[in-house]
Amino acid sequence: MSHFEDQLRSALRRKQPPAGFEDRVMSRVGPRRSLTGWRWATAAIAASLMLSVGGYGYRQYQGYRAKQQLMLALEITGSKLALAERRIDQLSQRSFHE
Amino acid sequence: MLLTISKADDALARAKRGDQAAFAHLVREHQAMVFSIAWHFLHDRATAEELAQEVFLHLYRNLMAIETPSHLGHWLRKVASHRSIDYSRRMRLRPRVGLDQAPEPVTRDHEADPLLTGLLHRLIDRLPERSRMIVVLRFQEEMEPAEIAEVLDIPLGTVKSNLHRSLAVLRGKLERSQKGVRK
Repeated sequence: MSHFEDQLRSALRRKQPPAGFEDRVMSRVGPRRSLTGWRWATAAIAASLMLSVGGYGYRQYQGYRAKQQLMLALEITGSKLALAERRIDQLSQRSFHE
Repeated sequence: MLLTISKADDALARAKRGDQAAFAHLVREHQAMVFSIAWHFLHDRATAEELAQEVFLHLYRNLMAIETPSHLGHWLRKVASHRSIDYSRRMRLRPRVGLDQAPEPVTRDHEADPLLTGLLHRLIDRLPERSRMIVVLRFQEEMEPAEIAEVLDIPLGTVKSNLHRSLAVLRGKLERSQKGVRK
């Protein structure tokens, strides 16, 4: 360890803040609120409420998705039936002319 | 030693439960460290006190995140260092010049320690912000380069090279200034 580094160490020794520092910090600190008693109950109610609302929303979303899928399936079935109908018409017209 | 650790643990646990006296104990225990980081970095007593108070208020609001007394020390060093650097960058308390271009400090007597200390403070004060904080953490807090790298969120290599260069420049400046006085 060099003499120069010792000089730096000495120049940078820790210093105490001006008197009354601790009191000034504590005067700026408000009382801490802890989650005790009814605060826990409030937090639990709020959490369960959020879960219920979330669950209801999810169920609604699932219903909407199912409805959309059903509509799509019906649409596909309808178009296939129309196609089959047209083919039958064409075949019956052809056999009629022959 | 064990008793000290257990007392510190106890104070932290009580402070986390909302015990104001325990929090005051934590302030008392760490105030010199936090204040000195700010003071050695900013060289302005009032600003250093204000900044140190802000660090402890921030601690009060984030106490639940502190796990152990050693974590508390690390957290305080980190917050004090970053806030000091941020403050200096924001306020630009005085125009900074590179240490190489800085004029030699005027001194009359370097034999007396207070004068040497004052001279070293002025030299350190002229270092760029990051280099200055590295020197403060190394010689005030006796931190290893790896710890400094973690606190300042910079690579270890950067800390080492910065420290090496800062010491060389500071030593050179100090020697030149002392020779100038002896002539």
